[in-house]
Amino acid sequence: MEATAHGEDDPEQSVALIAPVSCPVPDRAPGARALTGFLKIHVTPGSLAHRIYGALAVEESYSCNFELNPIYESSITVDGLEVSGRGDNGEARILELTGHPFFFATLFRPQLASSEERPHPLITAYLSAALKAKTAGATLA
Amino acid sequence: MTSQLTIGVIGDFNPELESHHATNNALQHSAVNVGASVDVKWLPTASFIDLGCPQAIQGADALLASPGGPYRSHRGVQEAIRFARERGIPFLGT
Repeated sequence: MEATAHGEDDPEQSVALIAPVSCPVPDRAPGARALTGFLKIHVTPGSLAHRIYGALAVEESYSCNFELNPIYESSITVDGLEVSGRGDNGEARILELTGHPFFFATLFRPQLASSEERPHPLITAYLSAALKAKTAGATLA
Repeated sequence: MTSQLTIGVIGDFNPELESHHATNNALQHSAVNVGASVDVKWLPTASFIDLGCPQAIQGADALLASPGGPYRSHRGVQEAIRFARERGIPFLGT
């Protein structure tokens, strides 16, 4: 794909793959990013995200000004890349790649919601996959 | 026996960013859960261009894209993610 521009690096790029957030959180604190605080995510049934969360609706912590430009969604969701979590208006919030040991991208920041008492399930699943891959000999020798 | 994992964080560590400290901390929280000892290495974004991906990952078992853009080398990050995708390396982008 040619259009891999990120609006953060090139604000003049009108067809950026990663574009400014379309529905910013209203009444947010001055200076806060467009997506800020805990927001709802609708998880796609049957996805890896669904298996990890064990739920179809979750809330995650954001600090973000950019999102996937929806006009490109059909272009990137080929070759096994799927949207497995969406915002209230259908915006892509989680991407996962099927047929890969673990390939996951989130618009939110799972690390912000992690604590010693409650490690984040997504990060735990990532480490489990890394252990499994290492044991299987798929190390990066 | 505790398993050992090296996690390569694609990013230019900035001690002023809370999200960078949160990344290190969250990996240690989950490490306890999976019974592994996790060593976190920050991998400079430009190194994926300057050294090439196989050298830049410094033996990491899995890659994680750090929050807190813009990255010093956006192209380096793209190359690192492509490498993870093509080589079947566990990857989490945040």
